[in-house]
Amino acid sequence: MKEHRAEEIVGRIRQAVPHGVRDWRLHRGELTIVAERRLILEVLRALRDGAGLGFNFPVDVAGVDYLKHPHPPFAERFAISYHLLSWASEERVRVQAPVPEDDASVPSVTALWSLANWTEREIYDLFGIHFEGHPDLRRILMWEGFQSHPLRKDYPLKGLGERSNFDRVADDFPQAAESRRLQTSPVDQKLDESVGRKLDERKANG
Amino acid sequence: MGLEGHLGEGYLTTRAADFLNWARKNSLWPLAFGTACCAIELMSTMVARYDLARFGAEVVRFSPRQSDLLIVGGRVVAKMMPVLQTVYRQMPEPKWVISMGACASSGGVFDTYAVIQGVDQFLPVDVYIPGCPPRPEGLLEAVMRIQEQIEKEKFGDYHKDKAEPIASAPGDGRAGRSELQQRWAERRAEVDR
Repeated sequence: MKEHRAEEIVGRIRQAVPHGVRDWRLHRGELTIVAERRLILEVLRALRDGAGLGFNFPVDVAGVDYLKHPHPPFAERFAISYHLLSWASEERVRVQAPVPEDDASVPSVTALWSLANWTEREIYDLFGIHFEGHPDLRRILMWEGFQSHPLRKDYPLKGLGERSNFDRVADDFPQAAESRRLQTSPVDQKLDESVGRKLDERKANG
Repeated sequence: MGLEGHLGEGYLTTRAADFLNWARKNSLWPLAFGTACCAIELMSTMVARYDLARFGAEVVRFSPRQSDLLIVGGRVVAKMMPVLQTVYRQMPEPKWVISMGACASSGGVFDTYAVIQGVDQFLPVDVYIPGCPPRPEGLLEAVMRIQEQIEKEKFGDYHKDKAEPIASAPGDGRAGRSELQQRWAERRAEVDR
């Protein structure tokens, strides 16, 4: 996408939704629009229905967690990325809606594209971001009863013990005694030891 | 010899356990619980080049009610574990379990929140096969080990899961979720500081 085309697109959206666009950038021909999350529906509707725009297909809706990111593009912790494609002009545009941690919710775009239903459920499942107005906001990948949101950067990779919290089919097979003894896998114990060592070193160094 | 002299031709005397074991070990009905690339090696073990039929175990059924050898091939995620346990419980006694490959035996390289770090924590496993994935020879070896095990079985050995399944309760050695969560939180807080 060329610079003048990007400016044209952003100009049209600013015209349609005056406070909708916070920022935009063009990097290696890829247009990214940072939109206000409260106006995200209006911005996306303008991109879909606006004259000369016609971004009619939501290729993907994705979540991002910028926790401890070295160069976060905005102050908010989360972001929802909408990747749109225009079938007519074969242009692509990325719309980002920053989401703060203390109010992790975004209007659902299922009213615009029912395709977004499952992708929004996935983001809810893995990031814990709520989609207001979603018809069926349930977990889609993790099982019922799972409590956390594992793609959040502060969720430990090895989990919180969910993977070892199952009933055994019997209590009298040889490995059962071993699994009773090991609360976590040996790898976890090693990790704990290495973390403990680092802590000791830090304490020793003051 | 004794009895056979009286019975005439066409009869063979043996001990009942030996006879049952001989029949069972030469007619294993595997249930292929293949969830990853191990299942591909499992398939290649079945076909002409390696031919598991030579050991009497060629009839793979995806029905636990008609199987007596559970082959867990591939990583098992936490969402799959209750299914695997149900499959195991549905199999009629006597039954045996092969844990095929690194993932089924230990989680393999997938040391993440979702992957079970060894199905033997929750299922009685008889034979483990190392490898990622193991070659068909490995699976053949495992089936032969199972056969050796079957030869030694006695009457009354067959009720491996007669005990009631136990629920996770505080104090049984397995940390509860909140306990683990608290431990992680403490660790994290200390590291962040």
